[in-house]
Amino acid sequence: MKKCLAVLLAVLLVFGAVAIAGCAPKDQPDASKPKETKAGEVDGGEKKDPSKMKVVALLSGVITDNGWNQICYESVKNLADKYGIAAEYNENIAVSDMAEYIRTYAEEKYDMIIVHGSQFKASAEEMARKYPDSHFCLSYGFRVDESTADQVEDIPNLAYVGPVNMGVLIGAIMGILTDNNKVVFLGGQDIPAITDIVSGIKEGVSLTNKDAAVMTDYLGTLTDADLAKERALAFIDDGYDVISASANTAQLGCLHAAEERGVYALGFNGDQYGVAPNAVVLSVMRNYPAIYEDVFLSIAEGTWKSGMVVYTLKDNGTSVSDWHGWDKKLPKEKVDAINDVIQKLYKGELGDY
Amino acid sequence: MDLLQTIGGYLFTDIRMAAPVLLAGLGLLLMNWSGLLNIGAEGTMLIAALAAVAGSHYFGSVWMGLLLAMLAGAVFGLLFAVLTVTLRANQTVVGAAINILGLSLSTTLNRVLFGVETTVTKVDSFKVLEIPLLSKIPVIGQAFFAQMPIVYIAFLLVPVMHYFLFKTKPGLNLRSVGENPRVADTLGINVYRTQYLATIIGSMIIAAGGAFLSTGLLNFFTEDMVAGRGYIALAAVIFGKYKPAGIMIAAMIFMAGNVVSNVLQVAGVGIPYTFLTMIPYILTIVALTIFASRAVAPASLGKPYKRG
Amino acid sequence: MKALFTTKMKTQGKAGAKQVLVSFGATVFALALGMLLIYAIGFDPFSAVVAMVDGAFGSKNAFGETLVKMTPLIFTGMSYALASRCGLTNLGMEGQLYMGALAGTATGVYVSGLPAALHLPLTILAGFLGGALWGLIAGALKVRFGASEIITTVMLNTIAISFIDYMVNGPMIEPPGINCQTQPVQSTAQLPNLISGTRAHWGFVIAIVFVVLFWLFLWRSKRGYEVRVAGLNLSAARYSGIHTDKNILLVMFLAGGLAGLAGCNEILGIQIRMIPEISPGYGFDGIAVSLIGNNTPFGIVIGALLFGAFRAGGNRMQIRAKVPNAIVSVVQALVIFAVVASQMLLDKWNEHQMKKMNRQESEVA
Repeated sequence: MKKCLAVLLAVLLVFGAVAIAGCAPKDQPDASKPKETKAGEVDGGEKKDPSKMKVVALLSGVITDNGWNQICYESVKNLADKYGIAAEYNENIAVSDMAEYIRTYAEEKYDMIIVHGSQFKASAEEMARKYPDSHFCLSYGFRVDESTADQVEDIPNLAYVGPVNMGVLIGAIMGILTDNNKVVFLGGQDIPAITDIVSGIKEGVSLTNKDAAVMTDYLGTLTDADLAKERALAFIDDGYDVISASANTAQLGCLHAAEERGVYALGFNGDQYGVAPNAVVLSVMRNYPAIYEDVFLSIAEGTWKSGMVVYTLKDNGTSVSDWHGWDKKLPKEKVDAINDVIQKLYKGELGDY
Repeated sequence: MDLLQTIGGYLFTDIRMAAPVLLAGLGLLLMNWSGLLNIGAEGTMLIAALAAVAGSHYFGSVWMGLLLAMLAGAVFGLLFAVLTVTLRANQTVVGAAINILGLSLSTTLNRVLFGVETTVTKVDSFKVLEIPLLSKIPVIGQAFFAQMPIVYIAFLLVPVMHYFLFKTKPGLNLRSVGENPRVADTLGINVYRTQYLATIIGSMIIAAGGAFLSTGLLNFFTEDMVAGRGYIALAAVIFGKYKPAGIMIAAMIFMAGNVVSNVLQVAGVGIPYTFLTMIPYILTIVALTIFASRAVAPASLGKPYKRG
Repeated sequence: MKALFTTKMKTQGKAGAKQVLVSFGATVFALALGMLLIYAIGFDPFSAVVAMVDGAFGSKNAFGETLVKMTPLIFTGMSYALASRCGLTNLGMEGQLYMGALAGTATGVYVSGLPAALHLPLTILAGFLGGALWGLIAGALKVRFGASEIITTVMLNTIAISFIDYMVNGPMIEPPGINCQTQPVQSTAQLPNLISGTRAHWGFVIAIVFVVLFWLFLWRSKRGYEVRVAGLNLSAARYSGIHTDKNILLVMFLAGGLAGLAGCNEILGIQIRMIPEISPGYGFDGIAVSLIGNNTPFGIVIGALLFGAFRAGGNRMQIRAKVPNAIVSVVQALVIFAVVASQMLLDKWNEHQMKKMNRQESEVA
């Protein structure tokens, strides 16, 4: 009975939303952001055999960091598993060395060179101009608007690739989970890939919970899990009852803290249910495996796009993990609300995310 | 009452965070009193943190993890002793190389032992051991008597070490080696053996601090997780005037810097996080400038001793 | 007293060449150990070494890369060596490097309207001063408060790196403030290319000029002599009327400046703009470089060549032989152990020979 009511309510809500959207005055300037800010150029339409393509991921850290670098490693591994190519990667590349790594692979005519991190922007741009035969993907990932558009160089064989609006999704879930109306999200460092998430949290929470107080800040470390745990404990003891973090291995300390205090946590960048099974309700992940598969196929099919190539929630840029039984443990209305908001965000019903 | 409770909570956190630094400091102290200056505590703690997880994983007990960590520490200590005592190499250079080795070797071995997994390998870890009655004391009860066993060990080591160094014959011998090895030698003390023992046992104590980082508060190893605590321990020894109790106070003051960072961030006062990160380090320098001139280092600290 | 020091120093100089040679042998030994380790964790050690040599010297481009890596290492090596000659342990090269890079970047970006002939030297001077002042803090803390420079320099590293994170993300961020990097330095402040087709830049030539200055200062100036005397025995130097405090301040200033130049040249020749993490550990490598070079000017260039080749070759080793490059750091640590051990063994052997000669002489007499 309750279920039926909930479904009915949800349907009504959707209709209501559509109706309101439909009735909205049309003469307002269109606020929706352009997805590709620079004209995407199609690369000659030349087709390639996916199994003969050469792909490499160039990483700033190690593939066991449970975060940013590991997800990229999994992307090339996914390509290797599906298309029978070699899963090639290089770790721990210093900013001053990146150009040299790129040069090596570009000279061997690699089809797809993934340069994983915005700190390598200058190297990627320089090398993309020098080696027009390779396709370069700079893993980037932040919102596109007027101010960021001119940060992108117009180079036909360079794409700035990444998921956006992950923070909105995380925030929306956090807003539903909280009982105390206090949620906290901790970034590791103020770097674009993390900052974009942090900046979306408030917006996401406000979608589902107008009363919740939202705190976002930075830990100042990507490795010190002990410090991160102590910091998280301090927040939880101050009444915050939903916590999530984006700080590579340090964020695991935050999940641990939630487990110890019995509050909710959201995993990030990998399915982190296993780290703290009594706290991690869901994990939200950059869907780089799907994103880079998409880019990979676009190269193979000759539909490659350069410039800002962002994957919104609608474009499946972000993935959400399995419930791991939490859908039975949580109060039903929360589960339904979370499922509902995820669906709506993916469908673009709550705004252009 | 609420305020007192909050202060009790800060104290609790402070003591727990201070434990690894205290252990590392006590280990360094033993070496310093034998005349050896080892800046390699950071690397030793890292390799120990990994060994603790490996031991706990393979033998299923966190105490076996601690044992393996201390063994790894002993190996690093032996390496340091061979190079600096027998071969009289520059102690700072060897210590710096030990730090490089600890970081790179722990990263490499972590990969070899646990492979590339999305989920970290979780192992048995230390549990809180509440001491009956005492832990019910208001305000300080939880802080002092509801900690993990290794925290008690760290703090109990303070009087033990003090007694050993300043009240026993072997302790006196150790200190005389650090003060003046030539005189110690003529008195019939085996200088090299004393220095070897001090380095190996000291490194094992440092390693216990590393083990606490991975299997105390957490139950997994992550790369570079020691994050500067080995260096803070170095400063704690000087700040603590080469006395165990002093090191304890120093470790607690430095870690209070982290507690302050926590409090400031939770309060949302808007200080850029980069400045919060600096607090413990700036505190260390300030403490050094105040106390360094008054600290009396062992006279032969850092100088290699040559017999005959 | 003075005569004693002079003879001590002369024998040091003669043994220098021999020590560099022994160090080289020890390095080869450490490399062999490293190969064993590479084999132990399941990689092909032979292809690893081939890739390494190829990546360091195999082509014009590879050699250019080695020069690129050598340049900062020469500076940080000199920085450590200079402090070491004065009996100080400067572990703060990394922080000084960053502060030098920051000061150089600021001058390169914000000072405008100057011709290259003025702008470039001014920027390099700023880079020197940035590192020098950061080094001077540690010197002043030692002289004024007796705080050990070993610890203060390490703490200052972390503080400097946090400070750079703040500056690059805050006041100096490139408008409109998305990427955490500064604007590029103006073309009038950039170092020209040295070998076309590679990344090698004129910073290398500047480094060599500073090696000569380093030699002139330590072995051809009165102040340099005092510094070296103080390094051999601080209290004895004090007795013979040398102002050791003044020398400590001077040496930490100069050593910091040298490390600052390492960072500044890297910006002006390679990066063009400031970003966090410009240095992959050039500061700490300086310890090993000066160690292999036995704190001598020529030795430092050799040491920098070795470790520069390590870095350039290590990259290629990861690309070709798939060896994770954390191994390169393990090998570097092994090199340091082997080199200090060999130098000490050489000392012991020399002593042994000396004793033998003395015995023979007394027998003849």
